[in-house]
Amino acid sequence: MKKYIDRVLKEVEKPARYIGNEYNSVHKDPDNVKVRVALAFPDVYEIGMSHLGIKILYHLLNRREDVYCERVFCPWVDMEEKMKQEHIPLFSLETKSPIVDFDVFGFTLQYELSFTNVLNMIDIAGIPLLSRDRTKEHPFVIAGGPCAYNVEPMAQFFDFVVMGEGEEIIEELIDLIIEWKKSKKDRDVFLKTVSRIPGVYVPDFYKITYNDDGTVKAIEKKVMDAPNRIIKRIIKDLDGVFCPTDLIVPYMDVVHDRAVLEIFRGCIRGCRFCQAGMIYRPVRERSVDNLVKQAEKMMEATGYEEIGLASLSASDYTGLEELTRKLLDRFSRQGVGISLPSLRVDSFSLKLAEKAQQVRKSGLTFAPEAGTQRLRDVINKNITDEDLFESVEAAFKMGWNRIKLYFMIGLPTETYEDLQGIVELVEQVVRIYEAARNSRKGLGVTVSTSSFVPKAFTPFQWVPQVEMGELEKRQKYLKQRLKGRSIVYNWHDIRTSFLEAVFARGDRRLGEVLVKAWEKGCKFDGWSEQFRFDVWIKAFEECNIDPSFYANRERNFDETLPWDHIDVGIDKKFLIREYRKALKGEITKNCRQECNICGIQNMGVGCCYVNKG
Amino acid sequence: MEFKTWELVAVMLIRAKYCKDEPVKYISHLDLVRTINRGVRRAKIPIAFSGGFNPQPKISYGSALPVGVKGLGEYADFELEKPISPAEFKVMLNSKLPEGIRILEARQVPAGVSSLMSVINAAVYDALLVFDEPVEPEWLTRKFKYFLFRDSIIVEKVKHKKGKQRIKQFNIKPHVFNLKCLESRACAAKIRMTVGTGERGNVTPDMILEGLKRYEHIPRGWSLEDVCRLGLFVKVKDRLISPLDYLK
Repeated sequence: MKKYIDRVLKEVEKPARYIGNEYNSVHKDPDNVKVRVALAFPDVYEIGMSHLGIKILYHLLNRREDVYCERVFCPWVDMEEKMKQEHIPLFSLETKSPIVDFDVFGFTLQYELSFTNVLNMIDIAGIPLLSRDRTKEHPFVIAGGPCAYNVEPMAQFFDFVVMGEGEEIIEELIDLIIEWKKSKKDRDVFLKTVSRIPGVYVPDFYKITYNDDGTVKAIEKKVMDAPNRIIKRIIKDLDGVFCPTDLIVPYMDVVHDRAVLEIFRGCIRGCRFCQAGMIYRPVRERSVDNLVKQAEKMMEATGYEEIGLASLSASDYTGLEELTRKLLDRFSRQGVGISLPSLRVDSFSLKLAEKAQQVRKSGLTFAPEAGTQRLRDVINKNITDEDLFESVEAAFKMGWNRIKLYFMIGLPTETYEDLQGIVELVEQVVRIYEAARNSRKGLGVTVSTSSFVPKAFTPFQWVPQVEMGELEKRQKYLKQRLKGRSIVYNWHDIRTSFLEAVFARGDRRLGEVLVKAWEKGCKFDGWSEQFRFDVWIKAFEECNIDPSFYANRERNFDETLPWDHIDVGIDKKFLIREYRKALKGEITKNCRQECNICGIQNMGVGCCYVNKG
Repeated sequence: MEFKTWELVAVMLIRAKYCKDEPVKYISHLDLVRTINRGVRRAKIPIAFSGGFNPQPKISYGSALPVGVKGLGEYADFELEKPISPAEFKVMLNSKLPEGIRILEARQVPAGVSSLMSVINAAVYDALLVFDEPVEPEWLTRKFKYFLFRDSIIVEKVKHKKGKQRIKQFNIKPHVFNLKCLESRACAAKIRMTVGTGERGNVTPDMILEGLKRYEHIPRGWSLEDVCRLGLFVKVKDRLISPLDYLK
């Protein structure tokens, strides 16, 4: 098949996406292993290769002699066309094998707009879309990642879904597959057995019924042995778990082109709009010494110019100062830089950023999210105007010229006063620059607003998304007022946010819409030039489904939500408490200041245990 | 004795010949630069860095290879801040490079030598000329002869500037030095061309093919496959000198 692929590569954009063979990529004899796994990221190479999760699983699995794990990414539209012309099915990067030759075809679901790409990849691989249509000839098509927690719109297309962190469960799955292959039993037998592994969800084992008003009536087990609720898996000891160091070094320029060190999981802040902060609890840190050791191994193995410290909120890592100091001591002489994303808005972080980045050309990013303190209290984003102003003043005095400010519009209880708050914040930032530098010269303030999308497993999961027409009005309001030489205003396409809102809290009936939209040519919906909203609307119409039912409807507390059978360790009562506090504008302290009894303490690990006594 | 201190800290310059073979022929020149930079770090080669905000390893290249073309005789100059033997350099770097990129030869060159960009002016390419109908080898050889005798060969170059496309005319004749047929089969012929390369006049195999189509009426359906740049050279009169030997 390699010859056909070679002929085709000359005629496509960025052929380097499809060649593999990068430094540190793993090469084994596929005939000499017991299980072959194809890890799939449903977007192009340069997006997928920036994802840490696949790197962890890839290197973890390939340590085993009995497993060969390869990667597969979504071919870009030009490559897909050529592949169809030449009858080339979806192939893996390492050995260029057709995906049907694998035992497992595993997707990571990172964002809702990648769903059509998943369908497309399954189809190009020559595998039936629906789980129930697959036979022993086909690999098990499975999924994990953040969107797996509410996988319902995609439920019919996966044989089983993994909830939570994959390092331990994936080894259990491989062992089970090896046993099952030896037994030569049917797929059903395997699915029954796998459903008993904690953290595994077999969608076909559950039947969803609906009320006349369209809400979920019940989620019932079809198979008695299946769990009533699927509880996510977590790794208790991050220092003990596998950490990939021989990272593949891509040839191409990928979005995050650096070595990545995961410093901790979870988040203490409890911002009410944030799904990641809820589903990745509890907070578990890696020790500084361990991280320095892993960093050394990484730089030795890769030769990268930059190390990125990955986490949800770097400033909350207890050893941040010590870690950055040790890493700088160790690596700055070699010309290696340190990237610190997700820093909080404060002067301590600025000093750290200055030391670490050493390069003033990159800008600083702050995410106030809301324009007034009132609205920030509603969403529990606990930063004040003063915090922001102090930090930008310090930044400007230290020599930074470019600042990026992230906000959301359409937050619950938002009024035009809050939008005006954004305008005033930005104007004040400009004034602070003028005061610090005596002119506006060189200043670049980029204001970016995205539309709020209510997510499952957050206190706002009952909240309707603001209607598209109204969101547009609010964008216009800001467009008219955020003007001036030093200000750039970027806004996100409201229609993509609407679609996100539909699928983020969707149910199984949306599967039909996904197939219809894909059949009509929708793919790469996250790419603005590929996104075809009119086709999506047609797909909804033809399926007789109103997307607003999912996006814009206010839900009741006693409603059965399509994801109620999934347990992320957070109590629904906690989410309801937080929602009620939000409406009153009451804040909740962070997990290190006060335990808010969210339920995660039942998992037996995390900072809940640090604070006891 | 008086020592000029700057001489004591004089940089060592290694000129290396390398190949860019399968499967990396599809990566761009920028990708290649990035890949070699990282290989140099992994191999712990004592490379010198440029100053300023964004220090880069001091490695300079000859002309870039187009994406999809193999290169068997490419060149790069490496400025080192500590001396190591060229043999050591070759072994160390080769042990840390990905498949398809190899240092073939390394030589120390004097610090003040002219840059590769400024001296390299010729390239030899091999390619497979694929027919859509069989031809006699003599026919092809004749076509090539006529082609080389022309006064001018005008091809069109599409230039992309600020999102607009502009078509520029370019006379490639002064930069076409040789074109011959090495062997011929029913459906394809292996051809070799010697052309000018670099800022003073850059001719690619695609331009040769276009010229042949325009002037010798070679069928439009013919194409080039397996294009390979055998080597980059410094052309002095009729001689092609390796940049490793041209140390002026």
